[in-house]
Amino acid sequence: VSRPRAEIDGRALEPLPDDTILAAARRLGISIPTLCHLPRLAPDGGCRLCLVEVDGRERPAASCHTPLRDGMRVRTSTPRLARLRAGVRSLTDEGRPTEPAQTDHPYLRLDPSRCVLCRRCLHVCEEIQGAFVFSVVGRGAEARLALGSDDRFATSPCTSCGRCAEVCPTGALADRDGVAAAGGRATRSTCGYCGVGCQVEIESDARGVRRIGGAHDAAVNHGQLCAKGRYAHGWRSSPERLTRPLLRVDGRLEPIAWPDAIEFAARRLGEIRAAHGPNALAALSSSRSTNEAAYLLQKLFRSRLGTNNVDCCARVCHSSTAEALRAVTGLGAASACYDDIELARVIVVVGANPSEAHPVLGARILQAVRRGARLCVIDPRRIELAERADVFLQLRPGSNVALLNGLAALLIARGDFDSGYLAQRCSGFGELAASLPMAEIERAVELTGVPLDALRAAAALIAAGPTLFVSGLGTSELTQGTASVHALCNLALLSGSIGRSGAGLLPLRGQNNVQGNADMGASPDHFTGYQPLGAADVRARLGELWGGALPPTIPGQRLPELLESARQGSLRALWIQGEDLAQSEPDQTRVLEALGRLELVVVQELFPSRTTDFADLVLPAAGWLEQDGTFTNAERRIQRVRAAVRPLGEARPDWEVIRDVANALGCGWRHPTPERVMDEIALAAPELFGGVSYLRLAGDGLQWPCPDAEHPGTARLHEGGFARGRAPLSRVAFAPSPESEANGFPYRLITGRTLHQYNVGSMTRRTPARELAPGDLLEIHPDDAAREGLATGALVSVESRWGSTQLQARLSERVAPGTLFASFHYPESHTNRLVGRAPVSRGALHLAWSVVPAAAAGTSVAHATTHGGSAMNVASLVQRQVQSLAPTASCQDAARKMRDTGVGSLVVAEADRPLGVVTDRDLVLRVLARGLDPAIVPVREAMSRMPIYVSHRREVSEVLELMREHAVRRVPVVDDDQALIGVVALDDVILALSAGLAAVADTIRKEM
Amino acid sequence: MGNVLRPDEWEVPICYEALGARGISLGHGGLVALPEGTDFAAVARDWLAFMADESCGKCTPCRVGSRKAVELARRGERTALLELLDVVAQTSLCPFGQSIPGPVRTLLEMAR
Repeated sequence: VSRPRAEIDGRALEPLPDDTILAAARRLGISIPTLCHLPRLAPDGGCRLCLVEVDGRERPAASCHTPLRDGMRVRTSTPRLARLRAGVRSLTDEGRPTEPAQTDHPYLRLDPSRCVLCRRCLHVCEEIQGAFVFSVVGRGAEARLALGSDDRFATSPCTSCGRCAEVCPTGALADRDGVAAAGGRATRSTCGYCGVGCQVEIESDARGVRRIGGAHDAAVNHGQLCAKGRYAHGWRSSPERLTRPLLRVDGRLEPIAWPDAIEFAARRLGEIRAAHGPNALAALSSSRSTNEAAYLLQKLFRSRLGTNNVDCCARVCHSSTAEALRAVTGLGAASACYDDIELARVIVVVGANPSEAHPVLGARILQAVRRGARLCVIDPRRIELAERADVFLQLRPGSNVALLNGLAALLIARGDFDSGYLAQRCSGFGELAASLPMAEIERAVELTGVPLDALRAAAALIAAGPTLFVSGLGTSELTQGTASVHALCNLALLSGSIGRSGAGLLPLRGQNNVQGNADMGASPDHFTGYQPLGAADVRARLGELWGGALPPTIPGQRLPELLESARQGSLRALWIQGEDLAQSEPDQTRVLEALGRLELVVVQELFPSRTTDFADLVLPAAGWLEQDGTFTNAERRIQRVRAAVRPLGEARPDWEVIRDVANALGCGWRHPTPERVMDEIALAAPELFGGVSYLRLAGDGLQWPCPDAEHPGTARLHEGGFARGRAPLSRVAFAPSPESEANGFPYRLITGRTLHQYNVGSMTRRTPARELAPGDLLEIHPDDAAREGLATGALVSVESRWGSTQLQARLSERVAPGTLFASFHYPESHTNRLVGRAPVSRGALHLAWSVVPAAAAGTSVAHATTHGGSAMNVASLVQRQVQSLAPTASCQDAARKMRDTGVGSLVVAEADRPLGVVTDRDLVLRVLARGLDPAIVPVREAMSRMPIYVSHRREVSEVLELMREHAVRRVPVVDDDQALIGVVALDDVILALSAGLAAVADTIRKEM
Repeated sequence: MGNVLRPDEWEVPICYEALGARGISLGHGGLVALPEGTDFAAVARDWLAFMADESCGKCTPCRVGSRKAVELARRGERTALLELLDVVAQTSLCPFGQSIPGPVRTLLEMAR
């Protein structure tokens, strides 16, 4: 059938649906100048440069917003067009304001004198990020770009995604890296922060990473990045990086050569295995490292060393989700994919704050809602998405199961469930219905504090599905974590959502490779690819592939059990890959004790940490910018990671070091590149990864399962049914958090991430993100604050039955009265001292514990940051709220004092003269780990061996030298009379000396 | 925005259809009579100032061109002004920017 065709510059073509002249011309390879136009965004039409002539029209038409219709004849290049475009271009150049530049932001700046008002920034900010920072104020020639309400980034809703600077054609909006960048080599890779898995383009040269941008053709992020992915790369060349292997000799870490380090690790693992058996050894693989590293580490411990004691940090966060999903659907991974966000009619966000923790997905959800998707947010905190939600259920912390059960009861009572789906694909409906009588609805109202009307509205939304359930650690990282996810699965099954387009379960992953770590077998109870330890065919295959030796069929110990075994002495060696256990694990005091008792601690790390303090061998690791491999994101997408720069100093990729240690143990592994490791992974777990190879991972990677070389990968799981037959609906009983039984703790505290920081902050704290989020905060409702007599900025002592710490208060109506929220990015906050363990999935009880806040004695800011200019003396860095005690006091007294004051170190002083410093680590290593009684040992015995102190007049750089020389992290500071005035910490010294900190100091000084 | 009609064009009914047939827009329906001896250049400047005031600022030609036209008219740079008015009329996004230059050109001609 011949259809009337359009013609552009004499070339015929068929218009596509919603075609514009510009899009069609570009398809033909015809170039039309544009300024305001951006692909995939609504046309602006304001710049008037893309004019073309259309037959039959008197005036030229703007090709960006003129639809191409059948029969149209278009010319894109004529003398008249050239003249008019030149005229417009010269007007564009003339119409610029003359205001001064805005430079109050660590990454972004606006120079209005370069602005031509093309509004590209405004469109990306609205239509992609959803931050609505920009507007145009004034009319006609007075029109100008406005930023927030007072033209400052700092007070605007800006999230520092940086897209505006990327799209600005004139440099009016620019960013730090754009200004500094001089091209360089471009490397496509996968971002190493959260589990979204954004594709990045890294520009680098001999000096290092110059700039990071989003890959515009990437399925995951379409060019968008968040502040961390785009800007927080300064950690790579931080002066604090570990750059040489370190061996502990006489209590101090000393540099050694790599071959000696490899030999030491292999020898000690072998010796301990020979003396105490395979289960005296364990490994923790890192969710930050590559699939290849995780695979090789579990292979080394399982095959050569013969133990299933392999786990990873997902035990803290994600394991409850994976377990529940496996029980229900057969696969412990997201059933849905990110593209379901745009396809969804109804989205339920439960226990997740993607706007801050997964910003690129948060923005995609926000845009889906702007385009008409219905949104229900379930969270104890009024998160940003809650402001956009059709229904917001602000439940009490820890009442998830009651709420989700209540919703299920409502769906059942109203008959609002997908009976066809249930009949075909599920089992256990009768039992579930019987366990959820109408009374369950009233009970939900009572336990959650959510009004019945809101519950009804949420149930009505879910019933209008199928629904996409986006969940986070708020459902899993708590006592009833596994139960919460089961209850969520019930809703997903009742509404017929799993395995349908625009619907299903999409649990977000906190770290770049949480998913991959679990996939690779970093778990005590399954092999690579979730294959059972006891299956004969699996053992036959792996036995052949791994050269004979296999671990027992009995699962190994999980992380919390491993730590307990270490405390009791049965676990003797622990290989820790890229995790700061001592800071990130709950119940910190016991963790420190466990680490202190181990015979051998091997740590692969980027930075010195509280955990490397316990290491016998520290192996400097390559970060995500420095190595090749793969990460797997939250939608099961395996994507390539490519080295943009060389590892700093002598740092090496984790996988390579594990290979070398294995070979030193006689393994004979031949993997010259991570690519060959992936080839082996495909053979080890063919059902999920059989078709995966680096060749096929170029571009957007592959979503598993991908069983063979022809298989395109699987965007959405369970579309044709559940692999294990019917999915069971689960009866889930609400159990109150054990914390609720603790008397005398009137508040519930929840923890979470903030936009500019990432987990324990070992990377982001070493970037200018520190300026945007200079410390952890405790959010408290104004009513509670009034009752407690607290104002924003007050230092609050927070105590749970697990421990205590001090945090700065911020009054906020985001939390309900009775609930507190704290972030956990800064080690000095010791937030995890407050948190206990969850019994069921043996994950951590990061959410919902009881605390009692009280204004700290003396509300001076503990971390008094009054950093001066370049020549600084140490007085400006002194932490003045120093606690001291006499050398004759017992170690038990010291421990009590640390607990009561929430500080990790005390100065030992006699009549105000400092003699030394004792830290919590000292108490563990020098007293508890040696089996001494802390009630008897005087603190003199445990304090720092080489007590030094400095005058408050000493230069900061000299103090750093002293700290290095004496290998101490804290030094007491005395005044001119030699009287103790406080302590200074290594972190502060290094920060004060780092470039760029002068600006921070300036800002802070002005505010004080 | 309206049009400027010289005496030889006055023989026409005042209604949208009849005026439209001659390419004249009635605008808001208001009629302004200018006496003999009017300084048409001043009227043109006034119209341009009105245009600059009323431009919404969305498209570049009208936003920047309207103000530049005022300046050129004040300085009496007639050739440059006519060229600019052509660009504004041909390239502006909406009928406001597209239609103002026409009557201004007529006034400038009358002012000669």
